[in-house]
Amino acid sequence: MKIRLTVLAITAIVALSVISVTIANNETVPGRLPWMDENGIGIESLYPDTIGVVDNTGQVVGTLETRLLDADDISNIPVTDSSGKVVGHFGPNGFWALGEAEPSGSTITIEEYDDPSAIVPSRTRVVTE
Amino acid sequence: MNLAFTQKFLTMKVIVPIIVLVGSMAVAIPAFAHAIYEDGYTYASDHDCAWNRAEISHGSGGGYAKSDITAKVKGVIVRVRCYDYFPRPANYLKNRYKLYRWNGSSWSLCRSTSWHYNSRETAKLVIYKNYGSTPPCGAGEYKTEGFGYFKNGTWKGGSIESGNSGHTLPD
Repeated sequence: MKIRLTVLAITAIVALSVISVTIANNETVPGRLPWMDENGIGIESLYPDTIGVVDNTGQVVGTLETRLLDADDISNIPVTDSSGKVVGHFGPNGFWALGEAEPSGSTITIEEYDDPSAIVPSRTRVVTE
Repeated sequence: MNLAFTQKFLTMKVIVPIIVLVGSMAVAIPAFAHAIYEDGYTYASDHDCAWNRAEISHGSGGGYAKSDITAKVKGVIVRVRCYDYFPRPANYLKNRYKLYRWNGSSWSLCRSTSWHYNSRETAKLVIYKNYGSTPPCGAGEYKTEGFGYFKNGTWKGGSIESGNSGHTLPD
């Protein structure tokens, strides 16, 4: 009787482990960006029209139109909620809500290599975004 | 072998390892890697090619994102495609990246740089940023998507992501 119970317990544990692995493999696990192929190369036709935006705490605050990010100037892209209402803006330094101050400019480093096999760049610039 | 011994054997040799196994499956494996990157050709023709690379790493703990674009061309002496570097005039290389954070159900946009161009004739343009000790959009999983193009009549190149998995920040 006890052996049967033990076998039953083992079966239950194995079943639970299968269920937990199945749950672990669902879409809530971070993985490849949905518009990338198996080599990590972007497929333009799969790009979403809109994408979620997170603020500096990681909270999802709304979405923006991805086509607007293709412009040279992305300093002031509207972010909307699910009803289409503008809830704030997005720029190179992230999201800021309506009525809040735009995040202060941060710098990015640009390197140019006349010989791409070189370790040291030919020119380096630091610019404010 | 009596019944008591059999029960004890089953308990120690079978159940305990299974519990340990199941327990270890339930624990997420943290990303210990300090730099996660991917590189490859986003564009390749018989004449010219774009080699891109995107990286996410720990930087000073809060993350470091980087994107590279290298223009290449079919070799002049060695007639193999994508063999020689392909220097392009000022403003004929452009580069940017987007930084994503996993929000629990999808990758969301955290940061996006402007386009940056080469200032003189060159074949490789790199942009990067160290986000300091605090991740820009809170603790979590991050990845970089780099966008790099060169101009030869039209803009040629594409985007590449830093890898299938993200980088846990801060670390």
